[in-house]
Amino acid sequence: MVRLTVENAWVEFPISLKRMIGRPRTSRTGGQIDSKRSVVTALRDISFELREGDRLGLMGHNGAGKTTMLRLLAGAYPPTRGRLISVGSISTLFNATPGLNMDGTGRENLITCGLHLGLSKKQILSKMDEITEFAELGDYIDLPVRIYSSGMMTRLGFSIATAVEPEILLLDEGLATGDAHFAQKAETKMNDLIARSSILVIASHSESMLAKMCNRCLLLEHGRIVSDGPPKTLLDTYRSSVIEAARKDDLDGLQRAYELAMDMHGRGEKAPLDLEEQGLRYALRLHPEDAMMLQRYANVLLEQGKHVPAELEIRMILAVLARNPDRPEMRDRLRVLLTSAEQIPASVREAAIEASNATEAAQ
Amino acid sequence: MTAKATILPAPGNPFAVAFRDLVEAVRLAPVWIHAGLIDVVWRFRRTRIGPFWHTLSLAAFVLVVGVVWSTLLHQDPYGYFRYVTVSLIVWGLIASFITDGTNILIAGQSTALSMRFPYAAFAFAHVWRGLLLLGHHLVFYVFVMVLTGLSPGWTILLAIPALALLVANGVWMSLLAGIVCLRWRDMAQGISSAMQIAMFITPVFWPKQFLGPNLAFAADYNPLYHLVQILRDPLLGNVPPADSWIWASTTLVVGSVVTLWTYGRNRDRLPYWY
Repeated sequence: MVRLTVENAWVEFPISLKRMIGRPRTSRTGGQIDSKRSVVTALRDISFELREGDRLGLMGHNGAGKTTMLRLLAGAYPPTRGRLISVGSISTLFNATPGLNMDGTGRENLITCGLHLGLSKKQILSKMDEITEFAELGDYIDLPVRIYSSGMMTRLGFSIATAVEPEILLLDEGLATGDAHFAQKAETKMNDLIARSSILVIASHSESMLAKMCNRCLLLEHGRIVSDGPPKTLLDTYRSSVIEAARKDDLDGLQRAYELAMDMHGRGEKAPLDLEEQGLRYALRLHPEDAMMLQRYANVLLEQGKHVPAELEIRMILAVLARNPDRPEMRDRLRVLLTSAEQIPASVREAAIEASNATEAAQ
Repeated sequence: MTAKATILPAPGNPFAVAFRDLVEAVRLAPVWIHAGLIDVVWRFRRTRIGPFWHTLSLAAFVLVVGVVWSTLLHQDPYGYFRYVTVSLIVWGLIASFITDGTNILIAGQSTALSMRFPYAAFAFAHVWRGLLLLGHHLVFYVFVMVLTGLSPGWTILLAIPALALLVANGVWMSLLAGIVCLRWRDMAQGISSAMQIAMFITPVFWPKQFLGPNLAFAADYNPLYHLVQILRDPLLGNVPPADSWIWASTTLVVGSVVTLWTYGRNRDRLPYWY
């Protein structure tokens, strides 16, 4: 019976604190630094159990402990407190391929890496043709890995790692699989591999991927499990917690809202308006004069039936006028806005007055 | 595939933990035998004469040292050439166990951090690599023996148990050096300096008699000397003294016990030292 049990496991890294100057500051990401005991707690009091058929997704921002969790489950980091019990063969698909050597040819590396991953030489040789064909390396397979492009390297690593048939499969996200054509093939292969494995644990930023593949998700924050449940519920919780934090002008929340919205955008999904609103607020902090973004922000507010503040509209018009001063209707609108009762910061007001006067002089 | 439960941190006393890892490392023999072999191939991939570079540099060294020191020490040149050749081959093997052993765990990082891997296998791979290079050096040994016209006779068979003893010692030496240097990175430099100095206080270039009665203890109580001695003597056609066999065996037992205890005790801490 394949299973994976984690009982109150901690992962703590010993550190030398001599180089740390001043008081400990709170960081946005990463584990907690305990200067008294000279350790960084990467994972804190983790408990869960996975049985056959379980597909677990690990969520959380960068540095929340996703990769460390995979390494804990793989047995690479034995828990410093608590216990880990695993029954079944484990295979990992991380970014680094164990045993890879730059001076070896692709074919030689397939053998060394395959051996490291637990295949026998016989198995590798019998699968060799299939693997090389899948990796699409052509004649490059007999050339040193040193001269491979990064895409070829990933294809090689991916092809060997997916040739193993594990009972417990641990995947790290961001398996950049090169071009779109290969990415599609890789996905098919991966789905096939996932279907054959009894237990899957996958760490990812991609909500759609987790929602599609997993039946359970863990949300990690600062090395702690903050929630545990079905992916849909968890994704909603995660998203609303991010929006909530962003509304409070929390810089971390704003940034995560931005990342979340960009992630959805990257997958061709439309971000919900409230999320996009917070994401744009973050982007506008970085580029306060970007006319396109100001316009989009105003639209997002309008679409939600929210009031567009006069200050925002003035900034938007100023940005447009900066690029194209020959817009009389904009100047008129600016004058109207200046007479409105709303509070407008002095610097913005000054710039607006200047802009409307300057354009009058030009006429 | 048999379903076997793995419990971490590994339960049991340090020796039980270490022993289980040793068994696992032996089970992984195909992995490290292949890795060691291909490593030697890869390291010399872009050179023309490959691992024989080692042999060539050894030959050049023997030639220079042989000429200069045989004159300085007023030794019979033929006998001295043989002595220095075999000494350097044997010393090179032992020194590589220790000096290069300092890096074996550090170099295994990508493997060690992506799965539960028995670290002892890194030591096996290292010792195996050392043996492969020794094989290349033996070509030079045969060459010198033929040239100076000496056959070691049947005594050479004693080299087999001697080599086995050396290899067994090599496993604990490289594993211990690897563990120590993973924890304290400064130690690698320290150990390589210490080995350089050890080469001069161990009778490698000169016969032990040169120490005289007052300094003889420097060799008598030097385990490295006895390790060199047990393999050097049979290769030169002499029977190694019983003392040296006892010393080498004792070194193996004591060294292994210390290493296994250290290894077993720190097994689950090792990945955190990367």
